[in-house]
Amino acid sequence: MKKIKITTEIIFILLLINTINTSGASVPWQEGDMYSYTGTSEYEYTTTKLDGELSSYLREYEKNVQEFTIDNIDETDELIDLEMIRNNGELYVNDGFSYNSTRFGTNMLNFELEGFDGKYQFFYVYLDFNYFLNPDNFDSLNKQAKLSYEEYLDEELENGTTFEDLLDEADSLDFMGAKTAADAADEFTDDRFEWTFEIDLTSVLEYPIENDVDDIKWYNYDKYIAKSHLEYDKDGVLQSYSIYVETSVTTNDYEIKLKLEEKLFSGTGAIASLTAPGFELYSVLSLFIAIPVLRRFRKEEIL
Amino acid sequence: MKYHKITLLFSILMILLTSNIASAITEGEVYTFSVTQTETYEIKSLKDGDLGRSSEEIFEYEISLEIIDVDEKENVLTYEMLVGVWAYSSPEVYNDTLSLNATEAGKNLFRIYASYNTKESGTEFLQSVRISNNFGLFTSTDWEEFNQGVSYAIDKDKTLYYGSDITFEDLLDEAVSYELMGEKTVADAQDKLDTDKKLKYEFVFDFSGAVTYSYYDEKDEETKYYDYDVYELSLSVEYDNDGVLSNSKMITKTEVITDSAVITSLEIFEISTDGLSGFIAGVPGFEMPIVILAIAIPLISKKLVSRFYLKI
Repeated sequence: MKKIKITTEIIFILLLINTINTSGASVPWQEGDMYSYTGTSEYEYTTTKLDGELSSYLREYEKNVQEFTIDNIDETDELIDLEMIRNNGELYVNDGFSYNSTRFGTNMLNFELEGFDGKYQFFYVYLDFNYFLNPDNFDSLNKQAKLSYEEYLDEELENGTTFEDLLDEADSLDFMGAKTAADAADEFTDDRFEWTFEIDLTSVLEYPIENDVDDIKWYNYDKYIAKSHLEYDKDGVLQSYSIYVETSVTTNDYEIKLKLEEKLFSGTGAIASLTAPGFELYSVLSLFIAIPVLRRFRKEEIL
Repeated sequence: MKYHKITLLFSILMILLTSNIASAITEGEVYTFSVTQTETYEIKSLKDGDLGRSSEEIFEYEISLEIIDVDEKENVLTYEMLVGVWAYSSPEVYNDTLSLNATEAGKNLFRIYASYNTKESGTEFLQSVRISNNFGLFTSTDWEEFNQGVSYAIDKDKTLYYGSDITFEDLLDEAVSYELMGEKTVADAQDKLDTDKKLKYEFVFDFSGAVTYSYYDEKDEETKYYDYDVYELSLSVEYDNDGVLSNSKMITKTEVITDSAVITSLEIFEISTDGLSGFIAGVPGFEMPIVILAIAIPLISKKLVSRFYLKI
């Protein structure tokens, strides 16, 4: 019996966006430029026992701010070094971030289904920060992409659910205002710098309750809505990113509600404000994402 | 400061009762407690004042607990508590029985921990001081017995650990200042406890300059040591007339200035019966920290663990 726990990871990433220059052109950012990013994550979880007064409530809120400066730029290999601060207060250089924009494909946004026993409990949107973004390349929606699986479902991958399958099954969807997958595909254009996704999967996903180790009962959700938002300015600078999931399920014994929201925005305040000197002057801008609030559901054996 | 990891144990929900509490706490009654933990952590570079890193983490939960049975003869209480666990684990009702003893409740009210370490030079130094939050949510209304337990807990000759020869008095000698029950000495505090009255139980310590921060400097390949400029601890605990915990607050505040940075931290741990205070939704504007928080629910085998860590 596989199970999943929640893990929040913080990773440091450089996103480089080149909307104007061709590869090999001199980069317009300079050594010594400083940037800052703020990430927040919040989740709320409530359980109420139906046949009594017992309940439990849990909320967690995290906010992280990181500031850094560009320490070195290697234009030959298209690498950049960043100076930042360690937890003991020492300065150090985190080097070798590639800003080769050609490495980025269409998989920056990932849609993931997770579950077990051939059923799915979670749908999730996350950014794959291992790639570097060039909005020019972000012009299609790969509807045939297989959604991620737990390992033990890999054998079913060949016949597995595609993004298109999921879109077909969804109770409703709204991608950049388009209400169908076909219309949504048309929204991925070169001049788009803001993407919004909302999908209602209430009748698609199910929630498992374990009666004992070998006996799982699945319940339909009362609500399962997932949203994601990604916005750049016209120069290709990330302005904000967010994901949101809200679920509600009633089992025989419990009412269980979950809300989860994660955000990342430039600047150090509540409102995204660029603090880097000369930030707006550049046609090519580098972004360092301090806390990309990547929360994933991972499976783990729990005894 | 290295990442510190705080583990909240639901074992604070261990309830300590005496038989005469039965008149106040009855079967079928449901008690709800709110727990809030806030941790802030901030680092500012001294070499480049613009560079920094900060984080704030707020963790709160509310839990209700139903008294199933109070067995005065066997001195045992049975309760039920719902533990909600997200993801692929089910919520479940946790049942347990607890032995009831007022003096033990008093003894558990206050416990202080100190950890010592040794420098390469061989010098011993005080590495950290913490106060335990393992006090009970319920206690006997026999305040005389309870106070005797507290009095024992702050006894100056009591050793900090089993097998250790370091006494509470030894640790107090290192403090810049302290107050126990509002008194400047252990003897005065014990005099105050030598009553049959319910009191507000308060403990305040200032170990600024006495506790040493250390980290391994990879560049210089040596461990560096800095005395904390601020290292303050406090705990206050109050029970209502029925012996139900009404409010407790524990604060730990530190600041250390190294050769390269100013590092500050603030932790606040609160339990109350007033309900959660709405929440600082959005929480814009604060300028703090980076923290690791791990929540453990050791009462049950299934755990919800949320871990925040940096990949550098």
